[in-house]
Amino acid sequence: MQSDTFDVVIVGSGAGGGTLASHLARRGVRVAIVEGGPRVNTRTDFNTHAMPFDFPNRQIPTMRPGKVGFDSERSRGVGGKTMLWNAVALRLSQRDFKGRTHDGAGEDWPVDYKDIAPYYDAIEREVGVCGNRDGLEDLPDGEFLPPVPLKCSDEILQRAARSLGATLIHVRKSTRTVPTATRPACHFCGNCMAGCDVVAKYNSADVHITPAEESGRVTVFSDCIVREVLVSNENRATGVRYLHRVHQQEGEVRGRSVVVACACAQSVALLLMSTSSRYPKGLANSSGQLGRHFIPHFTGGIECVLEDLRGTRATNDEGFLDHAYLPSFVHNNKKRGYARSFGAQVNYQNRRLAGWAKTMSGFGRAYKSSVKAAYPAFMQFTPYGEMLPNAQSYVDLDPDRKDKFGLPVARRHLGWAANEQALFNDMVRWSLAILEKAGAEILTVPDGPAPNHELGGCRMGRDPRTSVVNADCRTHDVPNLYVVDGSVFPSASEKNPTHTIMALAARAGEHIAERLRRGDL
Amino acid sequence: MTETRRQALKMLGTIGVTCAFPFSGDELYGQHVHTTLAQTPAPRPYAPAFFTPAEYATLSRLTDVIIPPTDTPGAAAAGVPEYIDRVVSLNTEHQPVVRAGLAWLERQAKARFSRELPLLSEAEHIAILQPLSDEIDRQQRDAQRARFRTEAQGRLVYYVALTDKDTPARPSSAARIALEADPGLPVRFFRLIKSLTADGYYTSRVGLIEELGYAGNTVLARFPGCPVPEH
Repeated sequence: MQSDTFDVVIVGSGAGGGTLASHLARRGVRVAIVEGGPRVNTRTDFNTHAMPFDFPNRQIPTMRPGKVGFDSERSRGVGGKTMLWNAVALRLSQRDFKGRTHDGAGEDWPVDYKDIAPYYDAIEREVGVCGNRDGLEDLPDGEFLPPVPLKCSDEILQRAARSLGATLIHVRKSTRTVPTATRPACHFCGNCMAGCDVVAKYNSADVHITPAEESGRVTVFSDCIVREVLVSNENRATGVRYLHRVHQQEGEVRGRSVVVACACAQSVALLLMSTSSRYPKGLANSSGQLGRHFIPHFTGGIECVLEDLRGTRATNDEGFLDHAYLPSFVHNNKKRGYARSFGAQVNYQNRRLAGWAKTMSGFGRAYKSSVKAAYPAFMQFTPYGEMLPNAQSYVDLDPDRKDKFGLPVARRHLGWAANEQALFNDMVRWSLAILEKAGAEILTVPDGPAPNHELGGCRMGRDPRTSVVNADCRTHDVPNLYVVDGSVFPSASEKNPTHTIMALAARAGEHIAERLRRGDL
Repeated sequence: MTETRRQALKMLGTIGVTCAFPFSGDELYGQHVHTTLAQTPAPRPYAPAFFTPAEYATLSRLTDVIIPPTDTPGAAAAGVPEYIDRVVSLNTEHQPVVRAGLAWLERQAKARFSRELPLLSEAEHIAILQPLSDEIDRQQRDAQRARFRTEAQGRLVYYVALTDKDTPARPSSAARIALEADPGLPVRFFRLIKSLTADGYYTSRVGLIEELGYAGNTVLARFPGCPVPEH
């Protein structure tokens, strides 16, 4: 098998790699997926239904006893982070694609909303995204399955937000609310982020990769941690060299083209590790831009207790986690004093943990009864902000530290500049204002911005001197090398990125298949 | 706890819950069973790994003062001392704080009430602990206010985030500070014990299910939304 040459070798099997493999296979392309982690069975391997008291230290491990996977960021498992994501699926808007045009800072994407919209449509049709058609200019509607009903707590928040000019909507998630022949509808059993054992929630392994394997056109090399993308003297990517996760032996998978899709910082790291005489600073890095423009989302989580629900009886509202979302509402306010915007993920706590209890005041009988009263009223409210690229924020390889596989550790450098600080202050201020209107007691406010949703590092652009890939996710330097994941985002938006990563993968799949058909690869 | 709730819990504790789906014919989904609530660990005597028997008795009493038995069991009966021992035995930063803190408590008991700590009444315990608790609550309020001020100044915050899970944690050297001469110790000790007690209690079966009434991890054919209350 290893002497085969595949049409496309994809490194990574998450939202980017899995979607791309499926879209290539259905066009007759022969694909190898090379994934650092093992095969993981979402029906049996995760601790989906575990409770903290099942474990003496009360920590619920990701994997069930005897099951391997998700032990390092280089060896998660087939399906990658989609196995454990919360499935929020938002379309970016034209404003998000044209941030520089809109407010004069950061970067524009080299594509418009209308270029990506058909691929959002395709992804929504094939995986199922639930949501309400809200008609918002800044959060485009899609082809949605019916939304899940709001919780009582969401309705309280919704009224408060409305009184301040903001609109709380039904969350949009890649979770089925209508069954198909192979996937049930969500049955609200609990914590989606512990792994959905019925695949009501999208994961790339079950929804995209396994059916593609059954077509015979996709071969998965699991437990193969890619350590280098190989490139010929003719400046063509020829395949990848991997290190086996278990027996540490090296091997190669050859292909007519190579796609790096191993999640932002790891994609950057892999290219930086792939040095050669032609690319001494890392593959596809003739511009020196590889790893630069690292622009993760930043959050500022607030914990609170809604007075209206204090002392009520605990209900079964854990399932599906968050049912509502607060879209950006400040982006057209010219007086806000900073570029970009924020949205908020709200009310997504699971009820299996009450780590907030220790922050309640006092002790003894009164304390115990105050925790019980607060339990059904507890809420997490987390605004997500967009950062602008800055020189202090980048991904590189740690020159000193190696991971347990002997590979250099991917190192994140982050500096929040004045715009992030102003945006952070405003998003926390707005969040507190809405929560105050909702009649909430604030338990904790954030220490400062916390990074989340890693994006950037291989940014997309028209100019090879200032970007790493073009609008088709193809590297400027190597004509048959692609990067398809969150690292290509030239600007992050405040909206959750996975739906866009999947749409970009579908688009790249069409493009790569067309080049193969033309004999161009 | 209502009889219905008790029955429901009993059911959850013994049979597990089998999912039903709005379609048939898929064996995998049909056999999908929510089993974890059915596991009932057998009770057994616990031998502390870190605490001496005397310390463990003091600790057990202390956890019950923090979360006492009411219509549901308190912290000690919920297994919190065992949880704390497991955590502290693996945490070299906690160890000197807890050990010195328990010794401080013993000295307080003798000095103020001329008795061993486990023999103090709840009111006497409270008399010792209340000032510590008040101080913790005050510090927490002040910290939150200070945080707002810092952010409002709009200062540049710069840090290097290293989040690779492969990086081994650096052992802390903060563990070996001279605690006996540390006036902040009692408050730090109580904050730690209260945190551990709360975490341990509200992640226990007693705390989470009997006390808080956790109602999830089961199947809803339909999410009920927010029903309008009947008038």
